[in-house]
Amino acid sequence: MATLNTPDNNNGREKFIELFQQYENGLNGQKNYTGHTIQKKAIQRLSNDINFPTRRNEDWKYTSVAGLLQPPYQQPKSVEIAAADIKPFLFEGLDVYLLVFVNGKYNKALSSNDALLKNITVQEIAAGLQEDGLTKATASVYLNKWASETNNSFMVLNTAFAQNGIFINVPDGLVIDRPIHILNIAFTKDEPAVISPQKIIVAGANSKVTVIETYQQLTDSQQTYFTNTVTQLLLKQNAIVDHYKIQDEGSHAFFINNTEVEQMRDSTYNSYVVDLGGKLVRNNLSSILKDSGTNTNLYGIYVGTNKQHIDNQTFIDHAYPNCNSNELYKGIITDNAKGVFNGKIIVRKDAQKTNAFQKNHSLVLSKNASMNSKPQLEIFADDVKCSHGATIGQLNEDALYYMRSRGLSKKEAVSVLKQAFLTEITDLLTIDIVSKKVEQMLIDKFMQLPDTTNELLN
Amino acid sequence: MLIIKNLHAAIEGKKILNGINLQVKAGEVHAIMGPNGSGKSTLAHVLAGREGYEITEGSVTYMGKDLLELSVDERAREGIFQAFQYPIEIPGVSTANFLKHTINAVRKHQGKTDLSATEMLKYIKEKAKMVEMEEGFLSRSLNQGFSGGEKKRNEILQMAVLDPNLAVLDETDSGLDIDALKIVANGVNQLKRKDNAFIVITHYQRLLDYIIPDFVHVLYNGQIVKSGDKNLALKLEEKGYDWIKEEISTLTTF
Repeated sequence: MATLNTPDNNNGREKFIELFQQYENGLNGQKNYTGHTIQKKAIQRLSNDINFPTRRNEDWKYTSVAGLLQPPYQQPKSVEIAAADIKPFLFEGLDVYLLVFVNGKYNKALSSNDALLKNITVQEIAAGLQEDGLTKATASVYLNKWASETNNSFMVLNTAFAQNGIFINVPDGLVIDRPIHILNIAFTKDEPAVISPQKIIVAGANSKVTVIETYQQLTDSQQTYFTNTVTQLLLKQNAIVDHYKIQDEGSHAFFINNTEVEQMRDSTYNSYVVDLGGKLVRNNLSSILKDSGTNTNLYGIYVGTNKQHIDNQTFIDHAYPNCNSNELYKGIITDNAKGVFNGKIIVRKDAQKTNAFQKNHSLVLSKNASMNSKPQLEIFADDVKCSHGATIGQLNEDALYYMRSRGLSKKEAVSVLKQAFLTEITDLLTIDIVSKKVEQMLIDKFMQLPDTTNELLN
Repeated sequence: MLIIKNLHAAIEGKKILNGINLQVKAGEVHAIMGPNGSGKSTLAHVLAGREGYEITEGSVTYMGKDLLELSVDERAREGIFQAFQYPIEIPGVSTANFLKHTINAVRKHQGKTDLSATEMLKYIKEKAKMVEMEEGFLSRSLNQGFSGGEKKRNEILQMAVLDPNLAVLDETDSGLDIDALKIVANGVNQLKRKDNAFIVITHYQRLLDYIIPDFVHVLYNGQIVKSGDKNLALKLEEKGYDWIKEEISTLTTF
């Protein structure tokens, strides 16, 4: 499906095509690699068949990418990072299998290789495509799909520019003893960079895995950058995956997260999305249920301040019977920030006995802040239980007064009440250290705000 | 400690307090009684700093400072505590976490460092024991699902941990059975010292069987119309408020 073209978006598209040519000219002898053939296919698709969305596109009604497409993006330069540099971004006291991406490229030197001891495959996709094996068999299917079939132009863009993405395979039956922490660091300086991390994760039958993705900026550079990330997960029969995406990018970051999940029979996918940073944030999260008996739980927290724009799009495709999905997104929008939630659920004709529940609750705390919440249930089966609800509210003034009467400053009382609003979700974060860290990040963000951001309370 | 002079206050244009004069010294317990609608709760709110009350005349001096210039949280940090008649439920904030925030806010104001997690827990548990509150309540959301008596006990617990200079108890006894009443009174009596003071606002005399006041004042139509010692409370219990109303109308007739 070709999207409508506007002069703005064409301009952005042409800049990426030009950037690809520069990149290709610098490749010398590596052009014939399998991976590069796919990249070329992706950029050709972008030049011929597909364009970036405009607000006339229903799924992008509340989010404009015109500003995102403006800067003269460059591929990120190679940078040297020491282990000490990433230390502040680790979960202190938590044992993990650490995989580090710097500017979208997997950095083997900074990553731990203990995962391999458990027969977990961690391989760079480009290298894996050079030889017959599991990586090639799995990755080539997805890469070709992203280059040729997807309607998501940002996934096509990621496919064209991704370098050193990784493929992770958790073998059948393995209950992993510690989380896999995929640490994504942006380290850009002078030029606006387009950062394109790519991950394909397969959870084997009866395996149990926790994946924590974090996205942060190392420097406090004021230069714009654009993180355009793709994560694919395949949950085989009876697999259980807990997937955290904690985004605290720099204030000049554009961030588009494309996460696609495929769930096989009786598998359980639990997603925890936390969005604190970034200038414009868009999460495209979709779960395609490919057999019956699955559970899908999507939880999200978003906190928008200043001029932040945070857009969560979720899509659950119930195509088989006896599947459960449950969504709860909660967020707080202040200042001139904007929030968007669009939860699409399709229950197809054969998906009898589906349970699909969705809730989105927001606090909108200033006159110039706004929240657009749109549940979108399309139900074609007749024996299902589905519900959705959205609320937009403010802080309880009596509670605020009560806390102040005990000595808390207004700012502190507001922070405590905001935190309390999100407790319903932070309590669900099953790893205590992660939960505590997220809570601290929330408090830090709340306490940064000037007192004037709660003008509706005056 | 507290000097109230000719205090007039109104809410939404309606005059509630019509010239209150009251002086409270350290070490004293003052009971303020009066029929419904006499302005008792308004006085408590005005002292605590609730928004929405307009002070049309008069002054309130607390420890040498102009109290009316301080915001509600500044007053709390300066050592004024109001026990609420209707404590608020706050889902998502545990009682222990709430107490931690309040204790540290006041300590910070006093130039003290935050208590460590262990010290904090020990301190809170000690005070919880004093008001006979089971530790299980500490991990529950503040006041959520608490019975009336439990909420009032929680108010006294907050008072105990904050150890204020001046506590204003706003009908803390309302809705309490006799056992809960004793626990609340016992909490107050344990906190009573030479350097702090209490204003106990109540509709009934029975609380004053357990908290012995040094002074009893009767509030009527927004004014203190009679003051006395604890015997005044007993007389009110016996005779009700009508004789006072009559006294006043007699006075105004002349």
